[in-house]
Amino acid sequence: MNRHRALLVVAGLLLSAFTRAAGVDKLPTRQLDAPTTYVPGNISDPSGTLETFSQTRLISRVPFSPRSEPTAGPAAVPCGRRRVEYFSGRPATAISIHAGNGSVFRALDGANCPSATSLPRSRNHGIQPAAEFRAHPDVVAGAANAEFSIISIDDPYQCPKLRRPSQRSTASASFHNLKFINGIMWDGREPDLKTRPWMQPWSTPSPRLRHGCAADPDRSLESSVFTAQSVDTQAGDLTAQGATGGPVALSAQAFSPGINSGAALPLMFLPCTPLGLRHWRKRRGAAVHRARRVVVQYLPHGHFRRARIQRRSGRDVDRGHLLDLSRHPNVGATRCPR
Amino acid sequence: MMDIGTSSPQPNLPSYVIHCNDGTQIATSDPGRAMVTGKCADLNKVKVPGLRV
Repeated sequence: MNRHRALLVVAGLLLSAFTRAAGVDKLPTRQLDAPTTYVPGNISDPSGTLETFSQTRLISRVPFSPRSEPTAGPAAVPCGRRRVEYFSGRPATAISIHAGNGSVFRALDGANCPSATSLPRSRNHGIQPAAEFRAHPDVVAGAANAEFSIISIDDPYQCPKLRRPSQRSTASASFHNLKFINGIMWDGREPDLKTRPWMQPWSTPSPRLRHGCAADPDRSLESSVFTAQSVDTQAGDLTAQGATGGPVALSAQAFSPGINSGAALPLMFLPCTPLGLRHWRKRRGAAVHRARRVVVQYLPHGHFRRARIQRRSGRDVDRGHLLDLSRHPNVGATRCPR
Repeated sequence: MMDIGTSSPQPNLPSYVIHCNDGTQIATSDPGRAMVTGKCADLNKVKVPGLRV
């Protein structure tokens, strides 16, 4: 009996040794199941390094394939089958395949930097001005009988030193840092950031076409991806000594429209604007009410403090508080010119 | 659409030298509508903001 036990113990030890040597405990499966996925910076250019950070685990393991990248418009991505494919393999692989050129892991900001321009065509031909002019390069090329050509560029900033949070926009299919996007439809058709079908990367502006996709389980995954510059060639590590550069610190920031959002605020958010909240007072309808709730929900607390307005919710917001706020058009500013 | 002078090159803005087919060269910080139409006549032309709100 003792002999049998000794043999079993020896066999067990040998099996564990073989398993360890074969690296079974280091299978990528374990890594993918980790609660936090950290993708080291694979996008570098002479000015620094971009890093991508995801707060959630990878929820699908379909091998990444560059061919799965839709190239056409919204019809190429049916509802419910979206970019999770890009995350389904190893993110680092996806990045290396795209090498910064793809529409997924593109460096949206720094578009005036040739190496950060994501479109290969732009990169090769130096059509950075189009990006700076906020026009798609194809628009420039689309002017069939263009009577001019850009022969030189003098950019005093060269490549940007620090990059803002990149966001999805009509010109880019990137879905990083979506937490900070404020380009929702403020008329109430898309009442808040959570219900907006902005996970449709190539979505049309029409919410009617996209409402069926609003409850996608991949949303939490895709909305938890953050990309930011973490290393600067001159300044070094932007997270050193308590600095808050990089995607990890970015992911911890609270979203405040107009403060850390990339897009410009709607006019009604701007202080000292006669068109702002007063304009909304005269509007009626359920959609407007929903939009008003959004305004109150996403305005920074400081706005309300300065305006001495107590933050409430529900019908009070609809009926009264926006009106109160409209009487204080200069919230956030010391004094508005008259 | 008209040139209201906001596209003049500034030291703190990127400037671009544009060569027109008729041989003229224009330095600008924003070609304006010409980016859409491709016409040199539209260089620096932008939409004039409304004065009344």
